[in-house]
Amino acid sequence: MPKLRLSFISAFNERVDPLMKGGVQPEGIEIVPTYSPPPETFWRQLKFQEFEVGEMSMSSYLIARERGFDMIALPVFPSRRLFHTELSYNTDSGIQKPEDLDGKRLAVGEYQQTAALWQRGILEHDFGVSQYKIHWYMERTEELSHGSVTGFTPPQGISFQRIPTEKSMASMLVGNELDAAAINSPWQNTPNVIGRSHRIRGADGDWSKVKRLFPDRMAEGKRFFQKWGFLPVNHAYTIRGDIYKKYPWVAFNLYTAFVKAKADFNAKLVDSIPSGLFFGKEYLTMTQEIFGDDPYPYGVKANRKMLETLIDFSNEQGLITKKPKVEELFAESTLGL
Amino acid sequence: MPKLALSFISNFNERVEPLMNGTIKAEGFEIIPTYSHPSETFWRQLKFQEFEVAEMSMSSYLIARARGVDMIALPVFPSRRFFHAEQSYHVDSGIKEPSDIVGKRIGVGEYQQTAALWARGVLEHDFGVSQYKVHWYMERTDELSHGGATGFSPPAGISFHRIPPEKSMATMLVSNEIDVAPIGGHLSRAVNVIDRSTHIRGSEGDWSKVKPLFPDEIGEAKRFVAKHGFVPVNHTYIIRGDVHRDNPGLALKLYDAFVAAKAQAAETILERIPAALVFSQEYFAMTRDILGDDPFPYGIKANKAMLETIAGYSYEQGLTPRKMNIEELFADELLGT
Repeated sequence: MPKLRLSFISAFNERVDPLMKGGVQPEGIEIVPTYSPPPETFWRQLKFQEFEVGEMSMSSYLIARERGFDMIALPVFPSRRLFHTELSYNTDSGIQKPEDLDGKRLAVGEYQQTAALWQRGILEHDFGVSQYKIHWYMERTEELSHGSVTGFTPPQGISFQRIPTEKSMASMLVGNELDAAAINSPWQNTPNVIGRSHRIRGADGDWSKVKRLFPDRMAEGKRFFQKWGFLPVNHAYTIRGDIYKKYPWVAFNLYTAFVKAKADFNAKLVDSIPSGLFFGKEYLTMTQEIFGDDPYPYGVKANRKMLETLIDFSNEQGLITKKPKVEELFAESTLGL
Repeated sequence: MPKLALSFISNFNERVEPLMNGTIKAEGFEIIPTYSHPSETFWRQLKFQEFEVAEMSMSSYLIARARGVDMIALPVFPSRRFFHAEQSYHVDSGIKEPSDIVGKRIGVGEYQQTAALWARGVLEHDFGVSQYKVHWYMERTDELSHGGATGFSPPAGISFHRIPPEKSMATMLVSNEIDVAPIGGHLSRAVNVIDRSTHIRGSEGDWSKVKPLFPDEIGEAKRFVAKHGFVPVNHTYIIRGDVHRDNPGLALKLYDAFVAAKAQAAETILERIPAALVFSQEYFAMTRDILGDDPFPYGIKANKAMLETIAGYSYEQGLTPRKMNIEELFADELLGT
C-alpha cells in the first residue's frame, strides 16, 4: 500500500523516538528521519523550509507566524524544562538570589529563543526582575541566528549587546565578563554550527566560581509548578504549509502517532532509567509527586494555560506585536484534542 | 592477524554494553554478542557451557566451582542491587516490618539464586530472621532451574516447598498463599522462559494488598551501605576453562575491556537519564551522596568485603560445602587487581 513519504527533522527526544525509529508508524505516512540539534534545525527550517515536518522553537514559531511564514503546528510538546532554574552566576558578580539580577549582565544563546523567553518572563513575573533592567548579551551571530531569518531587532528599550565572536557565553561567564548565563560548567552540549559555547568552552576558567541561581532546583520546580500548573515548553512540531494544504489529513494522523509514541516511551520509562542511578523508580516517583503522572501533556486543551502564558510573554517582551489566538496556531483538526 | 572470535552471552547492562556493541574493542579478540535474560543465560551456561565468555550468577558460580565445574571468573561486577530491599509482603500476613517475617512463607525464584542468597543473609545478619525459621517456596521447576544444573538439594533443616506448576510467586503472593516475595506488581518483570511469574502474572489479583517490605528503599540502602560498605553483587563474568587455558593473556585483556566499558558508561550516564525525570542532575547527585563516585568497583581489592560476605553467606546457607577462597575464584593474573 503506498504511503506518503515525509521528511522529518528533530533532535533525539525519548517521547518522539519511536516515531523516528519506526516502532510507531503514523497511518498513511512513512517518515524519513533526520536527527539534528535544535539550533541547526530551526535555522534550516526557518531559512530554507527544507523539511516537510520538523521540530520548531515555540518562540520563533510565534514570531514566524506573525510574519506570515507558511507552516502549521501540531499541539505536541515533548520537550519541556524549567529553563529559569538553569541559570548560573559568577560569584564575583555579587549575586546571591534571583532578585539580584537587576542591573546585571545576562547572556542568552539567542534573544528570541524559547528558553530565554521563559527566563525573562519568569524572572519578571515571579521575581520582579524587569527585562529592561538587565543587560542582555547574545552569543549567536546575525548570520546564524534564528532571529536573522525572522527579522529580529532588539526590542525597544532593551539593553542589548552581542558577545564578541572570539568569545562565548561560557568563556565570558567564567571570566566574569558576564554575571549570569544558563551554563554551569564547560559547555557540553552537542556540537552544532550555530552556537559557540561548545567550541569556546572556557574550560581553563575557574568554574568553582560559577554557582546555580537556584541551588535547590527541585524546590523551585515545585514552586513554579504549583503557581503556574505546567512545565514550560520550548518546542512543538510543524508541518510545512504546502504539505498541510495538499494533505490536510496528515495533521491528525501525525498527532495521534505522536501520542502513541509518547505512550510507548512511557511504558518503557522505568526500564530506560540507567541502573547506575540505582533508585530510578524512587526518583521517578519523586518527579511524579511534583508534576503529576503526565508532565508532558499533548493537545490544545491541556496546554491552553501554558500557550496563553507563552503568547503573553512573547508579546510583553516585544517579540510579537499582537497576540494570536491559540486556535490560529494549530492545525484545525487537532484543536479539540 | 585474524582476531580471536569469542562467543559472549550477557543481559543488556549499561556498563557492559560498549563491549557488546563494539564501541570498546580489546586488542586481539572480537566479541560475538548474544543478549539473553540472566535466568536463561545461567541455565544454558551451567548446563551446556555453550559460550566462551558468559555472565554468571555469583551464587551459582560459587556452587559450581565447589563442584568442579570448569570455568574461571573475572573480578568485574557490573550488576548490583539491594536485593533484600526488593521484597514485598501481603498485608493480610500481619507483617509490618522485616523482623515480622519469622515463621512466614517467602517465595524465591530459585533457592540458590544470588538475589535470594543476599536476601537471606541480610535478613539473618541485619534483622535477626533465621533462614531456618522461614518457609521457603521456590518457583522454578527442577528441569529449568540453575540448581537442576548444579545438583541442588534443599539444605538440611530448611523448610522447603515448590510452588505448584500451575501457580507462580506472583499469583501466590497476591492471593496470600505466600506472605513475602521479591515482586512489587503483576507487570514488574520481563518475560523469560525460566520464571513462571513472568507468564502467570496474577494480573486479576488485588495488588493494592502487596506492599514493599522496605517502604523507604533509599533509607534502607543508606543503612546497608553504612554498615557493610558495598552494594550487593549478583553477577560476574566467566571464561570457560578450556578457553582460559588456551589463551594466556585473554583474562587480562577482557578485564581491561570491561574496565574501559564501565568508564564509558560512567561518562555518559547523565545524558542517558530520561529527560522525563526532569531532575537528572539532582538525582544523580543524590545517588552519589549515598553510594560514592563509583558504586560498581571492579577488581579484587575493592571487592574484598563483598566477596568475603557472599562466600560466607553461601557456606552458612549450606549452598557450598566450605567457604570458598577468593583466590581460587578469579583468574590468577587478576588477583592483584
